[in-house]
Amino acid sequence: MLTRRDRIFLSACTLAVAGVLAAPHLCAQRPAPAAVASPAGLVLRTAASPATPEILLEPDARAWQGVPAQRVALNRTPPLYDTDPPAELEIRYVDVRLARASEKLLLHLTWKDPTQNAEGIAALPSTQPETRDRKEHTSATERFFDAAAVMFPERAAQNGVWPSLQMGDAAGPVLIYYWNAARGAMRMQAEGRGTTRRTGETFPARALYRAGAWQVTMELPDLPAGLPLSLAVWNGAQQDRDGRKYFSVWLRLE
Amino acid sequence: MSHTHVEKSEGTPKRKSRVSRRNFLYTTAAGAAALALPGCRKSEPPVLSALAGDFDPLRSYPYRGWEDFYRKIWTWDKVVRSTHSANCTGSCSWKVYVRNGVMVREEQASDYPRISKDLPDYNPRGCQKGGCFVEYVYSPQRLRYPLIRTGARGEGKWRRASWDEALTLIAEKLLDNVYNYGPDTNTFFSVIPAMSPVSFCGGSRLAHYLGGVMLSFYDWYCDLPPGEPLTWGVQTEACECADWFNAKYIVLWGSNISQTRIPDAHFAFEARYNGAKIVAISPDFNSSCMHADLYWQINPGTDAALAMGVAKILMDENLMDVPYVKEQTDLPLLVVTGTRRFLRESDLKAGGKDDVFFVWDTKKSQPAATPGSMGSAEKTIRWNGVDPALTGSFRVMLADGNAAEVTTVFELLRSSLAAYPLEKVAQLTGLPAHEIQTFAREMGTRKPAMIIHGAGTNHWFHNDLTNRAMILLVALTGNVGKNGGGFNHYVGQERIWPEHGFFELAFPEGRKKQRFQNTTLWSYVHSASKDPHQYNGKPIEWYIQESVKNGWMPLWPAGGRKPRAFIVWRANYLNQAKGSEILETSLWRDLDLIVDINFRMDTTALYSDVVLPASSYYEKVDLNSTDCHSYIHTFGKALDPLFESKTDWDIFQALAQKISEVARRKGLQPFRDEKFEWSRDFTRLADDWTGKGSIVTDEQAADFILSHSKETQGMTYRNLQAQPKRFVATDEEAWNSDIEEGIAYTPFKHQVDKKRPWRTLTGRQQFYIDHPWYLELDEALPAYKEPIPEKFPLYWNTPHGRWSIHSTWRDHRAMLRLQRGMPIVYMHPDDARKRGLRDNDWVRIFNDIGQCVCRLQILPGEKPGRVTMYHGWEKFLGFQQGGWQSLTYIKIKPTQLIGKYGHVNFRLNYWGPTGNNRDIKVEVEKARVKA
Amino acid sequence: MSKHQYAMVMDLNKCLGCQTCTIACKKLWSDRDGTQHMYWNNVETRPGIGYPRQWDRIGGGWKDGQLQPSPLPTLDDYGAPWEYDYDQRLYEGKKKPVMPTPDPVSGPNWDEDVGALNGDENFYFYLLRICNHCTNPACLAACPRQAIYKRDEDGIVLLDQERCQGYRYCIAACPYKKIYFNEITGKSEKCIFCYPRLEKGEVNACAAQCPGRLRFVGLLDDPGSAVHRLVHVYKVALPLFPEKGTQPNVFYVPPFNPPRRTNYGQSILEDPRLPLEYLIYLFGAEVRDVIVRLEAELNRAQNGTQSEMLQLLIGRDAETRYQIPEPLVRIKMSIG
Repeated sequence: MLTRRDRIFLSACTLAVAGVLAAPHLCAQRPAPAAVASPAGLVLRTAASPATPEILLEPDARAWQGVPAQRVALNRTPPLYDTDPPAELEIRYVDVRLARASEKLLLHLTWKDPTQNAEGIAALPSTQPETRDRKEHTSATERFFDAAAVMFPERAAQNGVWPSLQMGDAAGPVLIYYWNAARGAMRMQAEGRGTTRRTGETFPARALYRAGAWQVTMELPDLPAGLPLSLAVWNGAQQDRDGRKYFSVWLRLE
Repeated sequence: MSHTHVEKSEGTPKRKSRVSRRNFLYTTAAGAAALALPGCRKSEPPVLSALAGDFDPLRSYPYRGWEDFYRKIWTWDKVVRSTHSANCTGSCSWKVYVRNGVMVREEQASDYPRISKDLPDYNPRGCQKGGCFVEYVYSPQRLRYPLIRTGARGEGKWRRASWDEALTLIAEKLLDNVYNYGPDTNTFFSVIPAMSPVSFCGGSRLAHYLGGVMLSFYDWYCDLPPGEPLTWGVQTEACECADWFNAKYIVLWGSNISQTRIPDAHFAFEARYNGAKIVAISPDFNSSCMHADLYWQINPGTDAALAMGVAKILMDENLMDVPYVKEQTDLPLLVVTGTRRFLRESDLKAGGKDDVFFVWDTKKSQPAATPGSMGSAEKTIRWNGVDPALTGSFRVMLADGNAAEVTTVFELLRSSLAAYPLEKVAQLTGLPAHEIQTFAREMGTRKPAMIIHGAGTNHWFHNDLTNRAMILLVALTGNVGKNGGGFNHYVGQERIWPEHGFFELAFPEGRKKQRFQNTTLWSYVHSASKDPHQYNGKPIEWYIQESVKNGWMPLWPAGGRKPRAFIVWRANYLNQAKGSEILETSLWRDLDLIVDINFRMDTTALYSDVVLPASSYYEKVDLNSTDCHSYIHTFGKALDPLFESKTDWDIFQALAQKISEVARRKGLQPFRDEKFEWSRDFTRLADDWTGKGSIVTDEQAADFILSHSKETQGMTYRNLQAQPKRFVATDEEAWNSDIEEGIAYTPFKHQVDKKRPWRTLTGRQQFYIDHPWYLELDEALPAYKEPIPEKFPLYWNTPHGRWSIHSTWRDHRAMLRLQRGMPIVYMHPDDARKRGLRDNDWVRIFNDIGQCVCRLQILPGEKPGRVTMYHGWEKFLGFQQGGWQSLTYIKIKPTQLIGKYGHVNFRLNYWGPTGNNRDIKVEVEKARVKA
Repeated sequence: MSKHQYAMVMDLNKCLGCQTCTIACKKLWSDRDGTQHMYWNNVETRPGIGYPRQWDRIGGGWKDGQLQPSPLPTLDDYGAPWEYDYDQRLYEGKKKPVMPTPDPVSGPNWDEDVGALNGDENFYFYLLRICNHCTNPACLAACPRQAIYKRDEDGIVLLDQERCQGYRYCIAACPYKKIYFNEITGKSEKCIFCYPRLEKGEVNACAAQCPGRLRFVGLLDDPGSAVHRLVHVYKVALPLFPEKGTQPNVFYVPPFNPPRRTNYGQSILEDPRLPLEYLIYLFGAEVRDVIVRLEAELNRAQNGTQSEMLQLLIGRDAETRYQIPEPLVRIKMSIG
């Protein structure tokens, strides 16, 4: 049963998609002088890069200049809970670059975020707490951090059906490469909302905040063409976490 | 990742298929978006459906393996019993948990044996401070190795020294002092043996064999209630706290039990449910007052007026227990009206005794000698056919042939009570007159009735009068010596139940061969302290001189010499001293050597020359007991002394050995100590110290106490480690009741039930003290006297509180985090408003003595005209200037300098001038403090 | 509904405000990295700002079946835990007093013993709070990952430390603000009702270590338990803020304060020092009847007739206060 809220949201998404397809130029901060990002459509192009993954891991590496940026529209999840205040659509798109190098897929994301929510969290010390005079302190309890992620199915689609955008489903488990401005990169798995869990592994990722924008790079495995990818961005200033975020529709990897 | 199999006795949870508030549709990517759609709202309680799993978390959960996370936290390798030695009077037994060789936590042992099924038991016993002591063990304040100061005293500049170097320095200085200046220039200060007697005795034995001076503490801390030695001839005797449950009327008078008797307060509130009424008398509405049936916000320092006013009502309305009064008090004793002195046998016949007294026998219309007085041949107070008069005046023929009018103490008391009519008392105390009347009637009729008494009234200059007036109430109503009754005072853990064994261990050659000194007097005389007041037209110096000349109070060093060495252990002398600032700039400067033995760097240690690291409470062998209960239990070593610390016992043993070594090295001839006719051969001191090798280890010392005391016959340190044990008996020479199985201990049953004489001159609870000074000062009977006048508008109130035991825990982070992190002064909103002060402001507290700068908290429950700082704050923490004792100075009361009056004689910690501190006034203003 | 439900009754007329329960819990469970600001058990003076600050006024809970919004408390609302540099003053000769950092502006017990004035007379009491292990927990409903669950065998509500992602909807949802965020680990934590102890037959640390002996622990559905008798038979124990709708399983015997000046002997309901309105605010309208009943029992006892209910509240020993059954579920643990 579609409530009024559902209807509004569906319309918003339709508009968003339509808007993306018909997007006018929107200037974005660029990592390096390059062509204006063009709308991605539903396909994400990749470029072969002569640089190494190590070099490409640096968000402002010159090697990214040769990789065209694709603008992906972001949708805002609607307030999911009675207690959620609605949030403005402040981050409307993310610019994506994909480069294949040395059997890796390097992902470069850029998006505008006026506030950097990335305070350092004390790392857990290596010494035994009992003999340590000081235990590490929580510096704040109410803040959330900027983050970004890319999600894709763990295995090829069955019957051409892609998994639910809601963190996959039982038939279509997903992997999520998640970067958090305070906690770093972590690899996650899920098969539906509420089942997301860290695998315990990290992966190479870097981030750079400059002039009101984030640039984040991730080193992904060599993902096959045709694989659907979805992107997500969290804005800490808007109390984003969990399903309270910005997300894209499924985009097919070229 | 571990998983848990959950075996359940019933079936597996059913899958629920009801729609929840979050119901998601799945769509393909071909659609606009595969996204979450909020589902229907529900007004039923949310039984959630499975979202991705098939469980309802209200009913079951399939991933419970993670629960091991918290299970692993509550694990340990070893648990050891120990306790704390802080002078809290708690004497609580704790379990200390060790994991991976580290002490991680403690929890109350909760295994005190039950006294009876009717009485609530003593478990758990312990407070929040004990519950986090472990943090001290590894804290930055923990002393780890010997230190010798390199900067000025108090500067905090040290160099690490070896034990050998530190002990040699001390030994050489102590011996130098003996031979060059006299053994009485070496001074030793340690408090409260009961909290850790072995640790105390290590030092006292050294002082003993060195001929040094042992200082008092119970009177100096103003915890001694002088009214008890005066009225009862005892140090302090109170019922054990379980006996509170037997009371039907409990008066919390100057005692904030919720804060200062944390392990025992429950007995009072449980007594209330069992039918007692609780009256709380306190100038501030404090944590104990909230659970009272009647709360009285009394004007500070007027408690004796209230007591006298109540005594008057008891008398006027015939609410006294007359047979008890006649038998157990000196109220029927005859006083010669002209001289105001007791009628004595020496008055009636030549060669008669000075310590035989008389009553008027109404049956025979003639005086009759009272049995049981100090001079009486009869060792009982039972009247043998005599019915003493309480009222009336009579004539007797004196030895010199003249007739004299005599009357009873009762009559004198009655006329003195005329000065306390109800309206005047109500006006003085600020309490409603009709409630004072009700209170008096309830005290007279609700039995048994007890007063629980504390520092709130005892820390005043006229504490002796106030004590005596309160004791009068429970004596007039026949409540002393009965379960559930009495005047019960617990400030300070001074009572050593196994007294006999303790004294033998502490002073092996006997107390008559030991120099003892009242610390109040010592601190006053050897410093620039000066009390400007006059007492009956004379300065206190006159009284001190007379007292010392008469041999009433000792004064060491004798002959006007000054003290040279000062050894402190188990105490924080400088931080806690009245007139701390005055002492710091006079006495402290004049000392040649100051040694502190401690487990943490407190203020005294910070201001010492040599600091020796003592093991903490969880790294030693010792015993612990208290007035508050009738058990004894043990310290234990959760770990061996950490870092380079040693137990106090071992430190003094090492020092004794070092002294002997130095004496041998220097070829010292024995020192002739004339006062005791004692030839002191210091080359043998180490051997003497161990009792010629019979008491070498801490455990042997503990066993010595246990085996040499009636209270602990059959007990050993080892068998006590299993569980606290109740004392098996009491030494009749020391104590005034037996240990009775199934019955909580209350004192004075020997007197009330067995009719043994009270330990006083008259053999009775003695309210009339006819010492010449008392007569001159009009204090022969209890009375109300106003606090000593001071200029400045606000009383400076420094009570004991919940967040520290004196200065211990004052610097403890876990405790500070539950307060405001630093020293605070409390003030009533009206007083704050008048001074333009707001909550959390920095303020300067000052008077003519000194000042301190700290922060303010507005407290509506405070009494206007008074500010409160809970006591014990370390000088080095939080204060921008000064400390809590910067505003005080030593005041000595003349009445507390007397001696050689029957039962009133100097005896260490039993009688001597008290270090009162509440008759002080200050002003408070905003302070400017740079961040 | 779980098969059984652990409950706790706290008699506020025995509380000393000593915070031994707070320290017992803290030293056992929340003395780790990232938990220094947490006091799963706290004791706050009432009336007062509470811990975290104003927790009773900022939201959460249920209303008409809907979860109510609430902001998340900040670290200052909990109180930033102060640290001290002892070394510089005690060992390094630097002479500056040892000071708390950061500069104290708030804390878990900031307004201890302050209370309020009724006319010119002060009143206050201590309110002890733990997680209420509710029957209708808002936190459980709020978690999108269903990482909060109620144990079927005993009703204890737990927050899965592995599956929690630190979203903190639960913190917002809890009307008692009894869930705390550990930013170091990125997970939320809360009172666990000492299940590791209960499983071994030991009562909760906050209860076991309370010198006031004011806590009663047992299964609410066990008719022989003290908690059952106090809540359902004598009906003298009430939950806090029942209108929040979470059905707490922690109950309070409401507090008395002594009468106002000159009122000794009057009923506590006539012109009381502690206004009834304040107790109604905390416990609901039912509190009036409870106070009437308690006062009657106290009068009877103080006039010489024993009160059965008060004899139970005396709680003479551990057996009277705690009825911990054999572990309700045999847990086979495989610890890695």
